[in-house]
Formats: sequence, structure tokens, C-alpha cells
Amino acid sequence: MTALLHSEWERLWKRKIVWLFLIAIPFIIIATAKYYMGRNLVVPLGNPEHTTAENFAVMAMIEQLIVVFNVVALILLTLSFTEEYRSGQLRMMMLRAYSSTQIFWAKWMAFALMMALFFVVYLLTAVAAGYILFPSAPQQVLFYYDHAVPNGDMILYTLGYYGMAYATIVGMASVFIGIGVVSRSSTAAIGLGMGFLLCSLGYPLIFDLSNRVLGLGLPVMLKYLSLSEIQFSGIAVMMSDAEALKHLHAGIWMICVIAGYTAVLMTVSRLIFTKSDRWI
Amino acid sequence: MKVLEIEHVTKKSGRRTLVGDMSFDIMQGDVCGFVGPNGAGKTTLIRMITGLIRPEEGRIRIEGFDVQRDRMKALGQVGAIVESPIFFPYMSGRDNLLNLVKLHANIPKEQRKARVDEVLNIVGLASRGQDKVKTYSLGMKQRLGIAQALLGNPKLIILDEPANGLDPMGIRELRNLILELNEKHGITFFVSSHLLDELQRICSRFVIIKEGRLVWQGTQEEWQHIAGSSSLEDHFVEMMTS
Repeated sequence: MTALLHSEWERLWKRKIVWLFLIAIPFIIIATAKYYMGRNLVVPLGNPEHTTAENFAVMAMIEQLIVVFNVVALILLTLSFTEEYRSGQLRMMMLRAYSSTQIFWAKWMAFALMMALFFVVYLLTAVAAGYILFPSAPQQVLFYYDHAVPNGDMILYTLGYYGMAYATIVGMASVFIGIGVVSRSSTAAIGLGMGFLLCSLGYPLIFDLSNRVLGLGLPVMLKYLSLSEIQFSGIAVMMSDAEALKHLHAGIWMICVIAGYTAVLMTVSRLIFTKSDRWI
Repeated sequence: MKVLEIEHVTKKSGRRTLVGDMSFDIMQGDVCGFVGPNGAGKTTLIRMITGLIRPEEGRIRIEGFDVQRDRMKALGQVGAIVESPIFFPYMSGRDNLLNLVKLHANIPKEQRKARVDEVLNIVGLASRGQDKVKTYSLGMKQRLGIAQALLGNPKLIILDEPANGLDPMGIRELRNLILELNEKHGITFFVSSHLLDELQRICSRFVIIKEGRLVWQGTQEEWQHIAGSSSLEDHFVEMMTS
């Protein structure tokens, strides 16, 4: 199994998309910093949207998680599952003394490790850029917090935020893998993946609208059935210490949603990937 | 000693029988030609032998190991090209092999590079090993396909239409390579093709199928005997049309 993982990992590194994204990270960070520098001119210190050296890493993740990380995950998984399977490249692996289940998990693990590496590089670059480009503040004002937090706690908050962001990417990846194993071509997989992202982004808007206009009175946490909504505002709600939000048990709910997506879709995807005949 | 055992193997697609109740054995050291017209079920059977698809009925054993129940041990003995060899095009031929050789537990880590260079030499691709696969001709891809099949020192090599797209020079090279590997390394070959002339030059045994069913099996001498004064090609056409 280690050999299989090594083989998958090595092939990921041979792909240009991996290197392109790694090279692009500093540019993405600089572009994000420039955006927040402009925002700081109109957002006063003391507002959670005001960017400081200490909170820039979190702000940079909030800004890019939905678009950049989801799209990179979609492309990597499409190349790894759909492209290799449908083009017949994977036949060379499947003819070896490994089971389809092992190949499936090796692919997943190689992807998860690669995304973890991206997150670490992104975090380190964002922290460095934050201290270079933004002024420091003695304490930080966070979204859904009743009071400001000292900078020591901000480090833990940042690590927690990145950890949860990574968990949402793992959840999102389970959807993309599901799409990847049933798609007949890479184009279809990318198209369906983008379609899912759009639906996931649209769902909270429809939920809010129908709840308000039709007066359905549905529990607000149902909005967080959408993975992209968890990425957009859910992580901050989850990590909130606000008394007003405590009764929602947001953390448990959202972890269950992410775990639900992952468990159901990974099980179905693995069954499709391993049980069907491989006419490749 | 039996290297490959096919026992009452059946594969269906809906109501259509792709392979029906097929049984035959391949012995160690054989170069066996697997012959049949297009759509006879050759590639379907090869996919079942290599574990890509599952038979509905019957058993396939390689060196005594059941492909379904003991996949690891069974496929550990096999090198194969199924249909056309497709590699990772963004990698060089050598990198493709280095990536695949990791999956052979019988080759120690420190010997992997040497093994890859060895098989590249055997198939005559040493000088082009560093080039990206997407720049290879079909003949070079076939040779690289044989190289990857050789990586794990297999006892049985299965080649599905290996001469497809090769020019006469390429076909001759492939023929010499199969004979050399069979004679020098004792590797058993199971080669599907409809180029009967070519198979006659290398094969000691033949398995002939038609519409998913076994029509005849035996040695080349036995076939020559029943064909009588007819050429094997004429006799084959007669079998297929009767």
C-alpha cells in the first residue's frame, strides 16, 4: 500500500497543475493582500473585516477557500480519477498485484496529502505576507466573537480555522470523487463539479429567501447543509464564542454534515470504483 | 506444469454471451497463439485473466492462484498488455517504468533503477527512455508496453494484439523479442492476434475461439495434421465459416 501511495504521490508531482499552484500561491496571497489593504481604508480597526498582521492568514483563507482551493481540488481529483480511468492510463496500475480498493485509497491519500501541503504552504506564505504588509494590532476582533482575543489565542484560532477549512475540502473532495468516478470524461467531471459548486453556493440564498418570503420557519442550521456555506461563514460560526450562537451547537452540526458527505459519498464512490467491471 | 488454467469461464453482457463455458490450459514454456476473428471474445477473456473484469461463472488460475480469490498472488506472476499500451503521457518512458516498478514487491528498492534500465535495454528503448511517452511512435509504445510487462520478472506474459499498428520491421523485432524471452528466460507467452502468419512463426500451441466459444486447441503440429494439405490460414477460415 505504501508503494502504491508513493507511486500516486510521484505522479501528482509530475503534473504541471501542482507546480503551477505552488508557484501561484505567493501571487494569490499578494493579490488578496492588495484587496484587503484597499478594504482597510474604509473598514475601521475594531471591525472583524479590518485586516491586521495577525488575522491576515485567516482573512486570506476566507477569501480564497471557496474559489481557489475548491477548483484546485476539483482539477486534481478529475485528473487523478476520471482522466486516468477513462483514458485507460490506470489499466497499467490495475494489472498489478493490487486491488481496486487499494488503488482508490492510495489516490485519495495522495490527494489529501497534497492538499495538506498546499494548506501549509499557503498558511506560511500568508503569515509572512501578513507581517510584512499589514500593521500589527494588540488584539484581534473576530467574526461572531463577543470580545476581542489576544494575539496568542489568535495563533490557535488561525490553526483551528485552517484545520476546519481543510476538513471542508476533504468533504468537498468526496463529492468531486463521486462525480469523477461516474463521469465519462474529464470535461463532464469538471462541468458537473462546477455545477455542484454553483448549486452549493445557490442553496443558502434560496433557503434564506424561501424561509423569509414563505415564512417556513426552518431552523437556520439547515442552511449549513451546503458545504460552500460552511466554507463561507460556517467555519467562523463554528469557532464562535458568542453566547447568542451557543444554543445552535454549530460545531457539532457542521462536523456531522462534513462527515456525512464524506462517509456517504466515499462509500458509494469506492463501491462504484471497485465493484464494477473495468472495460478500460 | 500449468501456468494458466481457464475452467468453464463465462462472461455475459446483458443477454449476449461474450465468452461461453471456455476451458483450456497453458503450460510452462508455451508460446500460445490465441486466435479468433474480431469480436470473438479474445480481449474479454484477457480482461478476465488480468482481473479487470469478473467472470460470471468459472475459474481462472495463474500458477495455481485464483485470479478472483487470490488476486495479489495470481497477478504477481503476470505481465500484460491489454489492447493498446497506454502510459502516462506527461512522463518519460523511463519515469513511467520507475513509477510502475515500485508496485512490484519482488524487486528491492535499490534494484529498481537497474531493473528499469535492464528492461529498456531488452526492448531496445534505452536511448529513448528519457523522452516523454507522448513523443513515441506506436511501435515504441508497444515496446514500452512489453518493457512494463517484463518489470516484475513474470512467469506469464499476455499480449493482446501486440502487432497492431506495427510496421514489418516492428513486427519482426517483436517476434524476435518474444522468441528470445521465451528461450532465454523461459517466459510463457499468451498472444492474441488475428495475424495468423505471424503467430505461426512463434507459437508452439494455439487456442482458437469463435463467438465466445472454444473451437479448437492443440499444438501447431496437430493443427497442421488436421489441416492436411491446406494452409493453416485456409483451415482457420474454414473453421470460422463452417
